[in-house]
Amino acid sequence: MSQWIISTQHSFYSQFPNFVKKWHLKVQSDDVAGLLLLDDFDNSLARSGRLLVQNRNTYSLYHRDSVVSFTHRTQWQFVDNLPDSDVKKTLKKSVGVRMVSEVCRFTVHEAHYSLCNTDQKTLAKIQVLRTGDTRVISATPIKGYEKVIKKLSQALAEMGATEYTANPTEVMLTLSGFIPSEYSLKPKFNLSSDMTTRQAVAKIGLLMLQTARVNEPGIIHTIEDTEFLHDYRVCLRKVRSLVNLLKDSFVVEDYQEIKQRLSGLASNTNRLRDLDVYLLKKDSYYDRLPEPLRGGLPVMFADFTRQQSRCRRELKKWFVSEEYAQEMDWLIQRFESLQALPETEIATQSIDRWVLKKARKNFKKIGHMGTLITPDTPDEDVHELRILCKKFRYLLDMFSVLFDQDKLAQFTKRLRRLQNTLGKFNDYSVQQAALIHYLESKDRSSELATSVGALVMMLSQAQLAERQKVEIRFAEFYDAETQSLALDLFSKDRVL
Amino acid sequence: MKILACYSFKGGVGKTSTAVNMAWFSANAGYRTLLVDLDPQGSSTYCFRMKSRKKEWDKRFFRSAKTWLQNIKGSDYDNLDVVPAQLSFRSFDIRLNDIKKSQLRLKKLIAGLESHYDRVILDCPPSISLLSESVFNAADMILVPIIPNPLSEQPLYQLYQFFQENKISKKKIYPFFSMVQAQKKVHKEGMQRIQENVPKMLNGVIPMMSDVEKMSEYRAPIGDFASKKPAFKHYKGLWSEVQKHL
Repeated sequence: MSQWIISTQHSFYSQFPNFVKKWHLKVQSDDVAGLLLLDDFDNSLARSGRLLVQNRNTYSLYHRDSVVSFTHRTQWQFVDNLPDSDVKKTLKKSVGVRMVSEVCRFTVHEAHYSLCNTDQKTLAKIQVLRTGDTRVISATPIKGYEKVIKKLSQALAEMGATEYTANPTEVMLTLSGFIPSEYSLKPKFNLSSDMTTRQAVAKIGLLMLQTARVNEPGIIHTIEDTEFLHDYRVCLRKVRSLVNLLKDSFVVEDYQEIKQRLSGLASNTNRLRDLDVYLLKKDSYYDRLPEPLRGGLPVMFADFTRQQSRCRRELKKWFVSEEYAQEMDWLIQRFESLQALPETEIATQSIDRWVLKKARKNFKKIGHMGTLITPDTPDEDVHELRILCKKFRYLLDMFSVLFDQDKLAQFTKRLRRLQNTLGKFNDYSVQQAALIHYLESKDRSSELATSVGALVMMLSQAQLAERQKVEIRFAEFYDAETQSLALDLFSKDRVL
Repeated sequence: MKILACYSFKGGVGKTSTAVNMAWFSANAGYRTLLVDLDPQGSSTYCFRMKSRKKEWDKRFFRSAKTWLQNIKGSDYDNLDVVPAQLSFRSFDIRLNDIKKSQLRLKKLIAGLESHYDRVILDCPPSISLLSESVFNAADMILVPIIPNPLSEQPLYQLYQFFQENKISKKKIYPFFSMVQAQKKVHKEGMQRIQENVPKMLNGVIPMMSDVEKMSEYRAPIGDFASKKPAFKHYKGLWSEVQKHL
């Protein structure tokens, strides 16, 4: 198949005879379709090179040269609402639990022609896709008539068309005119090694607060997409971590107040996030219990759903309140005015030296703490190791630009593996406490108590299993290869 | 892959119409179909709006399947390709004469197309020759249109005799009535007589119809322009029988 693109107000069909002698076009079909491009807020599909196009009840998932279509008659917003299929799996991989909605609306005129000679013999099949003045023309010669493409190409060049090597996904993206959003939970901070720590803090802090704010309309209008709140919270957490890491960049009173206000903003969202997580993991809770013990779970999840609705209503009110706006404005203003603060020794240090020093210190501390973990180590120490690893990850994520990217990726991959185990260990512990708390607040029917009790027991077993993995995971992380990577990445003598 | 030959010793009996329509039905049924126009008159080629290649290639025709693939042209219909005829095909017997075991040559050649096609349909010239013998050996089924009159009847018996003499299985021969004018007494009697003498006649009957003649005017198979007309139904019935026996 050969393909061309042209931008013209003139119809391809009516212009054709002016440029091509002895051949003519026979119209096979001529249709117009109003199409919707669907994606999530992150534009995860577009970013993974995929496009989901809706034409009434028909959905087509484009990826490179392949187009897979399916029909779905009822309205859907989440991939989980679709019946099981390979397309669903692919969509789920990109979109996850995010809401899928219209990101772009466009009209495509699709015409099919037979290119015929004077005997009315078809020499090639031509497709013209048009939106506005943009036309993508593709021609597939009939076997034995391949030579027609050369003549056709010359004629199209005279019409002003240029050859266009694009796969169907790229063609659809061109026709839609859609430009994927640049939103990222890990924005590029554009740090340079000659920046002072205070400049870096100001830049990262502001950008993370702005990223948090990008999620506000989503929380207010489409709170059913739980990831708006998730991303918002991650941004706040990163700012808090940054402030803790570089507290000397601030005046002491400022530091305390910033910390306090950030905590205040985050804690307002804690309950809803917990409920979101329980409800998102609903199936996994059911899976944990044998059938006869599940009887109380519907009651518990119905309670959670009610609480979630209430929390959502309250949180929406909070986000549109004057008080919230003032809190955010105050924080942003504080980060904006960082430069005006009096100089301190650390604040004027160059960021790269400071980050390397901090990273070395963190790595050493993790090594020391992890090596001491035995089967008898109290859970509190394991939690402490988890928090340390988390802070270290934030440091590496926020200042990633200062490191060798390949080596950092290898290092964080290893760290992430350890963090996964530590994270699960903590999650199971938090969930048990929350379930016990829930049960205490209820009139305990025997069925509910049986189910929740069994769930707590299963979570306790799962926690124990993760706890037993901690030593192995730590040994895997803190091996010679990681230590060598750490030396390359964080060494004092490293050439920056 | 199955090979269907449309053959008649006598000309003007509806052989090309049969080949063209069987090819269309085959392609329409989803089979990757190749129609080979072996008749130098090129009527099938004309019906598909194709032109013969200017450069003669009869000398290379029996060389390899690869040579065929280079000369195949796509029709206007999905799954249907054509090897167009050219006047030089009249020299096929001379070419075959120079080839050892020429009677098996075509079969071997077509076998080389196995991965490309599911059905190969041969439109044969009206003669008994080395080429015909090669066709008889290659084909899984030979469709023989018969106009029910004594002039068409005799060549059919000669064909059976030829198969017997050359030890080719007569089971491959599937005659059917073509260009039938039921109102004519001679046709009525002819049909009765032939059916008595030839036990393996197909039930499909193609009457004399203007739509069949229009194929050369429209240069297209019946299915393209007369799919709701009786002619289409008759050919469809014939195709169903062919498909059952292939």
